[in-house]
Amino acid sequence: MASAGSGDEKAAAAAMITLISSDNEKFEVTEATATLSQTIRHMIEDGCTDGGVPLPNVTSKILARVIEYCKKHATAAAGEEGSSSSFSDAAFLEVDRAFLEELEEFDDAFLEVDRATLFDLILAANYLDIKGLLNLTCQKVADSVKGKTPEQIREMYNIVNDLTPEEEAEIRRETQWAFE
Amino acid sequence: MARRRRSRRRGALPATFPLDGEDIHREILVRLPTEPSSLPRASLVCKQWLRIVSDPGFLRSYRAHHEEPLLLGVFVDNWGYPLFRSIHTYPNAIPQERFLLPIDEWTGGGWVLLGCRHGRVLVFNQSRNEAIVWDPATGDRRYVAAPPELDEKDKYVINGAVLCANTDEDYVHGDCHSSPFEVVLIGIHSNYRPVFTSLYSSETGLWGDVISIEIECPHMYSMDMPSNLIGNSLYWWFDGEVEGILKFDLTTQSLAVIEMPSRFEYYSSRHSFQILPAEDDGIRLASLSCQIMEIWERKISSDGDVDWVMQKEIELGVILGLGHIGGMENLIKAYDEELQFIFIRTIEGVFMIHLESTQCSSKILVKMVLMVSFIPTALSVLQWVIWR
Repeated sequence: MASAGSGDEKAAAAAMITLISSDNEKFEVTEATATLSQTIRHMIEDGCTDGGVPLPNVTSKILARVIEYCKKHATAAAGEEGSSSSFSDAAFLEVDRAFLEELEEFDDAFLEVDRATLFDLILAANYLDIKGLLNLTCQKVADSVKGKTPEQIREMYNIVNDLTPEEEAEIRRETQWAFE
Repeated sequence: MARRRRSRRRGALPATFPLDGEDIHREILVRLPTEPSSLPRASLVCKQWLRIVSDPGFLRSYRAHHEEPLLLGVFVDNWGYPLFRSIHTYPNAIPQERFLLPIDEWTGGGWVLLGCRHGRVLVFNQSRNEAIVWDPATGDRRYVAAPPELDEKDKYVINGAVLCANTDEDYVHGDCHSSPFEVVLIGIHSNYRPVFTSLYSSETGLWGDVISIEIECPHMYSMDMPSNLIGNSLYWWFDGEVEGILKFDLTTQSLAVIEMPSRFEYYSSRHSFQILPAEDDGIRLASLSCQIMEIWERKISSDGDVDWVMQKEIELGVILGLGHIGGMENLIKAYDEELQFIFIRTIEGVFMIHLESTQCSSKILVKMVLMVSFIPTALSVLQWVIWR
């Protein structure tokens, strides 16, 4: 029973999906990797993946990075599931911790990109609905504004201040302590 | 299209926010840290950010995303007047003027600061025999006349508690401003016994029956510390003929006295106590004397026997890097139920210490936060980010 189940899982994991970037590059990935994206998961469920999945909003450069992320996280997820039956609780926890540490290191290294790439990754994660990647990339941006003044944030991200002087004065008056 | 956009980005223009789609901005802003200055500063960046962080729906997601509330500061008891003191530094220190109870309330004297919970502060006016439930974030004030039985003649109010009345299972306290609330007042007879209590509901605007303690009750002289809500019961430590703990069960609306560990029954004013939660809505007791904090747990065996067991001894003097922190005064000044910070007064100032919840492990965080220049008789706390 158990072996049949895991056999099926292996078969499913081995099924390949072709993703096509906006610049027409094709990427072959396993279904396990592709289904980290809820958008692609739904397409697979609806049976619309024959002949490849066109992703007109994602360039090959960004898609390659997204796939790198999904591969790593899909492997980690599979590894965790596989390990649960063959270790004692303590050993399982140990393996679990090792996986998490490795994933964290991977995520940290993954975020070492320039700002334009980071934004493209956010857009791709949002479009493809990959929760982990969206969380990771948005958190990176949120962390970068920590402790910054509004002026510094605008400068960092090239945001135009379109607030009226009245709006600005009102906010400053109400929360002056945050700006002094 | 995509190609053109990409090549433009490679050019001299600096990276800009992916401005199309408010959703993405929300995804980023919801992850801003819970420091008090985060949202005010974000609101001053541009119109879009101002619109997002001012949206109540966004604030709900922000709270849900962060889960753990933020301790903004404490209310210091300044002769009954609740004076806010931030525990943060610039730019996160909210000034005390942001949370001021209008001073016109303050005429007449006879004020007692009874506590703070779920974002509301409870103050009692003995001369008017009336409670004020004040929401410092919104400024909302409700006046609740004490039940006529607690008439301040032979029975008078000595303590009380306020709490949010939302008991939905999935409700997380923190944004309770519009939820109904409950007030409990503890009264005592002028001969120091017996004890009375009554429960007020803001939903009905009525007090429940005034009940008294059913068993023989020891003389109670003072009950200076704010209440502790554990499970669905409120607890107060009291000083009297013997030391003890008063319990008010909110479900059954009944009062009971819990004995202290036998060692502390006859108090010599060298100990300072704080009731703490234990597993399964049980209680523990922290006792601080000189630099040693002991944690006791009240164990109830399967056949109903009750016993206090000492769980742990913590050498606070060593941990805080101080020598002697003893003295005759009450050393435990406050306790935050939600985040489980305990405030300890020392000769070096007030320290905020985190006692690792129910396991009582050795993980203790120490931060010096306040100096001793105030009158620290009862401190309470205000949680969650207040924005506008």
